[in-house]
Amino acid sequence: MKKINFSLYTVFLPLLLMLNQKNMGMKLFVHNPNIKRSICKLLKIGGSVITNKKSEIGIEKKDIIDSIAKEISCYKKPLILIHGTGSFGHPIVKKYNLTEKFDPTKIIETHTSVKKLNRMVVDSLLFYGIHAISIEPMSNTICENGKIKQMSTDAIQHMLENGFLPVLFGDIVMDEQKGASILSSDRIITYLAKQFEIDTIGFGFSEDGIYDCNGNTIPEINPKNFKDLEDQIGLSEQHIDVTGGRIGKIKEILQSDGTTAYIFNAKKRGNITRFLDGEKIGTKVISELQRKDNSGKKYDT
Amino acid sequence: MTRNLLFILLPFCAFIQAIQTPIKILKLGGGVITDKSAAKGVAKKEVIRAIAKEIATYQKPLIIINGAGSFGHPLAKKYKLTTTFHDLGTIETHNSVRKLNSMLVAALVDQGVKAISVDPMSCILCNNKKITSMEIKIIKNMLKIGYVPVLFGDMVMDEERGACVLSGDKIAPYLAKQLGNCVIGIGSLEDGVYDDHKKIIPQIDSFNFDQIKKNITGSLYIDVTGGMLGKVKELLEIKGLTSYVFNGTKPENIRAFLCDKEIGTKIVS
Repeated sequence: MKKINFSLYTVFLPLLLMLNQKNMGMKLFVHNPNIKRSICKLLKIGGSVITNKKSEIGIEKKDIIDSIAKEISCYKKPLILIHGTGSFGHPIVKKYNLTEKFDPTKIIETHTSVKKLNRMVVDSLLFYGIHAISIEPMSNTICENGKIKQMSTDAIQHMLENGFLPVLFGDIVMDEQKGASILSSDRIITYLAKQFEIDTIGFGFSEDGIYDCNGNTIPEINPKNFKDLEDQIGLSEQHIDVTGGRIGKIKEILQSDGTTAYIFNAKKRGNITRFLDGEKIGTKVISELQRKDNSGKKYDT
Repeated sequence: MTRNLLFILLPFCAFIQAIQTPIKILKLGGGVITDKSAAKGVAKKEVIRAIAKEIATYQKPLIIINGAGSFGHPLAKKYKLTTTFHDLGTIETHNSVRKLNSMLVAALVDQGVKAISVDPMSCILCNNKKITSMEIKIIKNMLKIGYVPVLFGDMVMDEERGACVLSGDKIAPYLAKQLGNCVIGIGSLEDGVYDDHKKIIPQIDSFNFDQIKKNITGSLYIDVTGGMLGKVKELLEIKGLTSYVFNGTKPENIRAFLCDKEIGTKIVS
């Protein structure tokens, strides 16, 4: 009897596992490599700019959102907007310790909260005549242990082609290992910078740029001077931020290929227009590999 | 001996169960949750709440897709979105249908369902009204960790047309095809698929479809997405899929579908 028992297990278990595997391992996502990617600008608006980041509950700064939308409305070329979550995201994440543990209902609460802020931003953009469409990272991104594994950018590409302005935001997304994970808007930028031909990236924060130890704005950061400056930067973060802070942001830019980014004060009127017009503003951060020209085909090594 | 047999059978059954628990895809017709005869978006809040209550007791993998009803069809008609590209019309329609979806999701969350809205505009690309790319891993992951993804009929980007109307009835078969092992339930305004004598056809399969095709009657109200015949056709195209078309407005019908009861018209491909 025992012999039969054993043989049944050896036959059925692998068979069933195989069946299961076959079902799971199907190739489901078809990425279309033929789609030509647009050259576009990325603009990030920090959560501290559009919300009161000191607050424990989500409080938006409506007047600043409106003035930013107004400035963006003059820009007619392809642009992707990404905004942080400020007090609509960080306090909830901290309160329930969502960076460490997986809590399905609190995740829904956070997601709903950040969506609310996104709605306000998109509505304001629409009011100023921009064809803004919200893109939810929860719906189009899958992570693996906190890192973006796949983000469907095909729809974003077509929005750019059709004259829409895709608006993304820091969100909670599905994670194949952790269940769900927090995806900061900076991570999204790094990912998008690889997917699209990026002209320049703008980081609109609530400070004039990156400060040195004397509180002066550093004009340029590149891989060569970053090591010397690293100790001076930092400590500028006074509020709750669960997604990494300044140093992390700069490091991500420096590690990406051929990127030029400007870190500037988005609260000051006219600064976003200046960035969109291609002016040098705030702190310029350039990565090691620099693009030769704007055709964006080859990189200098 | 009996014990030995049990040792063999129990894990075996468990495995079969694990593999065969089908994913239920519940499509809630726009006519069920909205006043479809209205010229602008009017939601039936009481119906939405009752439906959410019925869904709340269900614990197995479930995907919900809601139609747009009066939140979508009148706008799609106004801007002629089925035939032409209209950027502002696209945005207005998208925002309108999103509003309905968030009402449904909020009602579900209220009843303790771990519902998450999945925005088709964000994740689906079409080519001439057919879905060409969608990140299905997100849906899989949601189901794995016990969420109920809630999709909806929406405007999405289209490689050829710029943007197109993607009805919930197209999303359901697509998901069933990609995920495999699904059962689709279409909660509509009618008790099932009617023949020309206003009688419910109990079962439609590929054998009798050609015969009864001409007898199937359509939806009464403004519908830009194809009507009943289109829905049935779409469902029959996927091999090995079982679907039910039933009345989503009658109490307990949704629960009956979720509890594997035969209800309305059964469509077997």
